[in-house]
Amino acid sequence: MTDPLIAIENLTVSFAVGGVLHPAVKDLSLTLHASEVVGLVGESGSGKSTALLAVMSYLPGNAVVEAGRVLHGGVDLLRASRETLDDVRGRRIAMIYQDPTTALNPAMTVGAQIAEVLARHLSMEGARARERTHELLRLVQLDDPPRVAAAHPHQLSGGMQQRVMIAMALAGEPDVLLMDEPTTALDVIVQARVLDLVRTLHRQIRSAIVFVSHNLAAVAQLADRIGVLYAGELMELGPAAQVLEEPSHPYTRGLIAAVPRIGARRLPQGIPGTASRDPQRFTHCVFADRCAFTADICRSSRPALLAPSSGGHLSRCHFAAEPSRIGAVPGERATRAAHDRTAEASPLLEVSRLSVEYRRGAGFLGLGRAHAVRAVRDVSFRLPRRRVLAVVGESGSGKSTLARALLRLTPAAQGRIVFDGADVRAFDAGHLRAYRRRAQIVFQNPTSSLNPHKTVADIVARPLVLEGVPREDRRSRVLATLRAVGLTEAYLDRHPAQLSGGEKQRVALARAFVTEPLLVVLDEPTTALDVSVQATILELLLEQKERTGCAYLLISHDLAVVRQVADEVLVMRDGEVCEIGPAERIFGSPSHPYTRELLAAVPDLEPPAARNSV
Amino acid sequence: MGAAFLARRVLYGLISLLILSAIIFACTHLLPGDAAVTILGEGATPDALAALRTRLGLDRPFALQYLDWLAGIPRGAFGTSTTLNQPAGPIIAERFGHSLALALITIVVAGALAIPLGVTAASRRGSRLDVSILTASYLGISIPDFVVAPILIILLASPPLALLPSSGYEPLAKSFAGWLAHIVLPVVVLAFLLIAHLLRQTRSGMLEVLSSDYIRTARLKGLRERVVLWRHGVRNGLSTTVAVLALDIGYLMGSIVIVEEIFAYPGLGRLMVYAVANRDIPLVQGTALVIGAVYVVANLLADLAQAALNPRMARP
Amino acid sequence: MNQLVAAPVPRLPRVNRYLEFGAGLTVLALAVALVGLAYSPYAPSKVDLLHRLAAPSPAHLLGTDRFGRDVLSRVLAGGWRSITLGFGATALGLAIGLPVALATGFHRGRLDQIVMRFVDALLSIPTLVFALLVIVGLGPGLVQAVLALGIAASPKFVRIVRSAVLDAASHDYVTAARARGESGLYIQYGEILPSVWAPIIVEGSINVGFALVGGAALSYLGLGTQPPHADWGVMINEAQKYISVSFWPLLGPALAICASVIGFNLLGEGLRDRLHVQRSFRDD
Repeated sequence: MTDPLIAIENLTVSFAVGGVLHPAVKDLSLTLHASEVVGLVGESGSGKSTALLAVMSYLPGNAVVEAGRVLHGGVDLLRASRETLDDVRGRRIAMIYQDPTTALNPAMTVGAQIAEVLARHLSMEGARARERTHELLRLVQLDDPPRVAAAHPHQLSGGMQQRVMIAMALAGEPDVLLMDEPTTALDVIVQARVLDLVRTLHRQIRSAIVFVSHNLAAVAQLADRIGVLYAGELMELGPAAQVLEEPSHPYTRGLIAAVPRIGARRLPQGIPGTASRDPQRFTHCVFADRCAFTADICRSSRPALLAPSSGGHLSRCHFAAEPSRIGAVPGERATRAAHDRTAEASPLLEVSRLSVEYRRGAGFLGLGRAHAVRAVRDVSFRLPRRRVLAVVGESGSGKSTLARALLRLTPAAQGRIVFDGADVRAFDAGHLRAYRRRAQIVFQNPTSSLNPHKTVADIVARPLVLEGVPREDRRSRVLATLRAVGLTEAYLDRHPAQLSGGEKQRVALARAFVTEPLLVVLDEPTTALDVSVQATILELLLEQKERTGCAYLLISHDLAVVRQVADEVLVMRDGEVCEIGPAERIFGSPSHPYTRELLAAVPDLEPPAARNSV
Repeated sequence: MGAAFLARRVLYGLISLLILSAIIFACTHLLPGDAAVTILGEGATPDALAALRTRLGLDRPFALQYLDWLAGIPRGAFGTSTTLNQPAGPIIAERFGHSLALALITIVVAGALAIPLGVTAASRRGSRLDVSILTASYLGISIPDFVVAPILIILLASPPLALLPSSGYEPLAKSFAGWLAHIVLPVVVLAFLLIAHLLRQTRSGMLEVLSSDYIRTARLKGLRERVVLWRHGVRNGLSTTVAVLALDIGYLMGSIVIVEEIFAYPGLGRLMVYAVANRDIPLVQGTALVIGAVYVVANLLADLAQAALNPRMARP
Repeated sequence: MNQLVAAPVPRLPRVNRYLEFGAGLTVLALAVALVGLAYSPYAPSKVDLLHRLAAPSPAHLLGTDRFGRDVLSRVLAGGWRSITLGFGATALGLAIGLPVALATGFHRGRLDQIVMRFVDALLSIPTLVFALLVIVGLGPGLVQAVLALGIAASPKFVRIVRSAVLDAASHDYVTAARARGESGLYIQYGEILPSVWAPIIVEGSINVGFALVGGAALSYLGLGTQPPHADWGVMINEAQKYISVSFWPLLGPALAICASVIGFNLLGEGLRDRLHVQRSFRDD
């Protein structure tokens, strides 16, 4: 085995906040060899981004390296001088990260930013540099390199910007590429293309890559080896196929079970609880309180990274050597009952030819020309009770606008919305108020949708106050609803800042459910949550639907999630309906080319070698 | 940046000026107090008061008075000063020139000092240098000009070190040295405050720029810090600095009133104080409008400069 | 994420020091004003022609002015006027600015555009000049100065509060409130206002200092507190005439003003840091 290009040894990095040290990465050891792709998977708080930045020795001012080294070419980068680092960065190790729109200098042309790297590290200037810049842009599959090079970042799309970032990273001809969630900020189809590009480039250039993501499926597409991080510690590390098919750590197992699969209708399983952030958590196994297989030893002593068998597969579990104890990956969970056709008799919600317009450019003082942009065009569908209709599309498809128009948060330009037999667009103030108690909405970002100054009790009780429910009854209804979303009485007096992302979303759901609505619009309800928490929220939603008989309009760009819960699917692009029909048909035999493109773009969990065509 | 954009911004500016003129007119005319009584005194006869009101046009409908005044402005006619009995326009124009000289010199001096200091402080956040610069700027904005001025006067314009005159003005035409001598102290006092404001705003603007993602990208490309700071940082920070400069014109115009009064410098500010104290409405209106107009024009220029600097607007 | 290689833990106490120092000075200024309402070593207008323009001594801690009046006593006695100018103007400015900002920031649309154009135009007049405009109409005096400075400060508050309102309104909890049919007034005052207090407190504190200076400036120009009463601005004006002879009469009021302004500024800045720190700890 050749020497590793990068060796991270026992790295422990903590952040000082308010005088207390919070560990973000603990005892991380990892090597990267030439030409290999290592995928690092973790949810929020896992420390994956911190680890990557530590390799570049680019940590914020309040970061403290408590222990460990990062060796590259014999030098410990963490203790190297700025001059040394300047020679390594961009030339030997390059980095690409999440949001390309902010990562490029808005005041410089894209070509100039790439040329900077050439001048700095390869002493290339003038015409030679220009040529090479164009070559690089071609390499990342951008057409018309001269035009792109002369453009400013804001003139390019998100996908193009990310390709520019990749070209810029490759410009210095580095041996190592670090990628931190490079596709997360992009639309599904663009994501797939960029991932393809990375795969192609890796085949051509053979640089070593560290690919960090929360998306296990995306990592599965590229990685030779996979490392799983949790709460700052490395839980499992091994060859990709082994980790995905025979995971030895309970967390990895749980993570795999939590990922919604587009290939089959199998309800994902969440991992109860949330990751600990207690600075003292390393005295025992950090996963112990959420693990389904804990024993006493797990709570009292910290496991070391053990190799259950040869082959370089390590696992941080006291029972790593006994894979049978932990059991196989959970099998197929019962799929949902077949449709009850009788419920379709009178749909709860019937929408015909709905159009919504935006006015752009209102002019000065409301005068002046404004042109209308059609965000939603001619959309029609029916939603019976106890059904889930999913509206899928990429950004700009109009799906969120549609949702808001249904609740009259945005005025519709044309069309009819009929709810329980009544014409929503014709409602007067009184009827509108009543409608708003029976139709609720849940938003994507739980941090943004809860007022940080209110307590959970206030938030959940407020809709009841509006309805005029007397105080004595309110408390019991709030408690009942909280219980239904899995929260206890202890949460009543807490503020959103004291809750985790999953808990906040439960509170948002409780607020929506407390008035027992007939229709709930869910705008990307799980997108902002960790995948292990997503599944529990989805379970909750389905339970609630069965119990109360409400209907859901689910807005999502995540087709795998949609696959698990939707009865019917409506595919939108640029404001129009491409296709609508029962979920099995849409996923099984889609007729519209755009739908097919969308489905093909979703990364699946099997590594490419084992993948059948979907 | 097209002609349409330019035209629209100029239009906005003109409308702002129009609104400004209406506000100024309203302030001076709608508030309680009878100008005629103020001028002639409480003991004047009703006939004399009525005659004066007619002469000043105070008996006409408010809107007409406003329009009259407005109509004269493009020709530079701001009415007639009631206390000096001369057309207000030329007086205002002359004083404006003096104040403009003061303002421009102050801006140049302050900018030359504050901007580099602000950039340096931002690039070395938390260091001893940064903290001392911050503290100094704190003091700068906290100490009023009418406290700084007397101190400077004691130090530099009084025996035993009477280097500079403590008041007055000498036209440039007469003697450069004399003109300079009279202008130094007012500029120093004005610059004191302006440097403090400008420095803090440049610093915080730069701090924001330095915490952006593209600065991280630049560093991770292995570029030297100096290059990162100037080529990537300052270039983007420049447009905020320009915006800030325009804002500071506002501070400056406010300070000018006091400073001119302290140093008996014959500018717009001193004129306004005189006019307010003597209830000379036409002069008050005229000076206020010109002062406001300076700010509007400065803002317009700043907007245009920002648009030129900001590629998002220059090349959509 | 804006700095390089790991540095030692930053000293958070620096922030609290601002707050403490500022709070201390502010309390001192308020104490001076309150004490001065009831007591001063000498009667502020007591003339002593034998000891004019005297330097500080045990009998006169801050010296005497050109009429032999004790400077300390005058600083104490006039203090409440200057402080009132500061607080009064700020309170008035907020009382006008806050409802306007909430209403326009929430409703947006045409009315918002017109009001903001108006506010922009007002902002092009420097505070002091605007105050002078109002004084022309109302005449000079302490109450008039408070009114003038208050009205002059309101456009600035509208701007600042409105941007905080817009920020709060961009959060989904405001959309959620609309979605459940809350009334406009409830959303403005029940949902948005709690998020807007922080910038109000910060800018308000800082503004008290500047309004105090503005009031002193007006008094200095003879348009604020009128004779025979005095406040710190008037005292400075009186002291300036005799400055070549003795600068002691200047020192008292100058120190008082500077200390107060620095105090309120530091208080505001310290609060700004404090209130932000408490907000952004848990970001999922």
